[in-house]
Amino acid sequence: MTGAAWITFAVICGFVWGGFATLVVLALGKERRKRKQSGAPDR
Amino acid sequence: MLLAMLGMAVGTGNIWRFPRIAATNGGGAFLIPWAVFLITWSVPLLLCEFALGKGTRLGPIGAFAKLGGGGWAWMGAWVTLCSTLIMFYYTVVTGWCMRYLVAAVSGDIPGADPEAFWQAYTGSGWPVLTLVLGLGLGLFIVSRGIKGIESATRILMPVLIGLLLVLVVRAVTLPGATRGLAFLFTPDLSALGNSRIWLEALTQNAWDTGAGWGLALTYATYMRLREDTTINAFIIGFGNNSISLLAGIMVLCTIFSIRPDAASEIVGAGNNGLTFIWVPQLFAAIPAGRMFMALFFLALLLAALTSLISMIELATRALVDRGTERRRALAIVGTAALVMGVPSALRMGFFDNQDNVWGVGLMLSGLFFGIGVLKYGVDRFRVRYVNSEGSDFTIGRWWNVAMVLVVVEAVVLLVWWLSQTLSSEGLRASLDPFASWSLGTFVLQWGIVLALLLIFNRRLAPGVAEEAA
Repeated sequence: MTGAAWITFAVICGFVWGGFATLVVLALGKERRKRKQSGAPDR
Repeated sequence: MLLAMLGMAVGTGNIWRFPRIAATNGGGAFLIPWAVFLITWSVPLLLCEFALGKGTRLGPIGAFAKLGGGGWAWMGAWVTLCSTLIMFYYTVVTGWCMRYLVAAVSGDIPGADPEAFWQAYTGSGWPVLTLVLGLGLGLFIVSRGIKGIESATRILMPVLIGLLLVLVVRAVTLPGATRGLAFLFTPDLSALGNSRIWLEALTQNAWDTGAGWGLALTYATYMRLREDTTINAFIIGFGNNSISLLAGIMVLCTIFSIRPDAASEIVGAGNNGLTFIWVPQLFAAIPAGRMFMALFFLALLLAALTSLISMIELATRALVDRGTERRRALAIVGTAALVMGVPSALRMGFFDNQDNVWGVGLMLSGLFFGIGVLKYGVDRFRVRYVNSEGSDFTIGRWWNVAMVLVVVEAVVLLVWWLSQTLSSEGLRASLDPFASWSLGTFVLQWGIVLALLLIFNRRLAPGVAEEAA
């Protein structure tokens, strides 16, 4: 693997996988806050 | 519901198409436009579908009619029909995956010559039986209602992701696997000047995220009011492409580790050739290959099944919206899928024709969503449907631009496809209406469907309020 290939790997995987992980964490956090506000128990 | 939607997006296209298209279009250079179109095609369209489904609580036909009045119902009907016609031959694909899973477990492959096995299987009546089994399984899950779909995908999706992770770990730890990674990620930036790479990247996003198919819209009709559409649309788009990337790494590392000499031939062998002829040969060459081959075909089957049930649900929902009782609607859809699926199961030429005609038809589906939103008013749509009650994240004006881009992209793609068809076949050959891939077959089949939809337009969505007027 050349340096350029490693950079592409980091940028593309970081964007796609990192983006996906961040979105899932954000969504779970929002869901937890909504549940707390409505008084429903956490699942 | 989120897992059901992710299951809808993740299909066989992620596993058998993405690695092949990425490999034959410049690897690292392809990944850049592929990531760009995730943001400028897939996510805006998914957002549109989520908003429309949740806002109207109707399938595509009713949703388009509610958006723009009864005169727009034909566009929703095109979206519905296109995805339903894909479902008819997708049941055949699900059946193939079942057969190969059984063959991998029983040792029929790789013991037999994979090409001879594939030819003998597809040349026999067995694909009809596996079609019936695949369709039956899909119908059973959908018959349990949205709760049944949610319950099934709650099991199927984590198993699918787990299987892919196991296969990726195995692939990247094979000797020489880094050659596959290097092939996939080495960027040739000069290739970015090649329009074909951009168009292939757009096509890949259009086909494998399920954006514009009407499937996300259908599932969104069941969303709770307080559920956010924005974050879900982004999660589906990014989640789908994450799985494509995993599949790309898995397939290319395996190919370059075992048969680097035949890499070009393997990735150029088409979806069926790569998956059903080469994959068995590749797995046969690694320790415990039979087990890993069985895991691969199990993953492929789960990906096919989670997409198939969303297509069955879309067709069923279209009938339910017209007042048909759900059980009866499912029976109609099942019967139609069986009757229409059999020709694809028995004749590869017919299968390829349907795959081409309705696969490209999805470009029109995406275009109709874009046109629908533009005609309704992008800002009006964004305020009323996207940033609606329950939205945690407010979508700004960037989405207005993105929806205009969706229309431009769809038109460019259709013009490119038209020029490709004409230049590769020549005018006379491209007018043959019975060829697997020709302008004639597209015009004939699209023309019949569009003519029927326009003739019966006013009857497509009876009772839906004409709110746009």
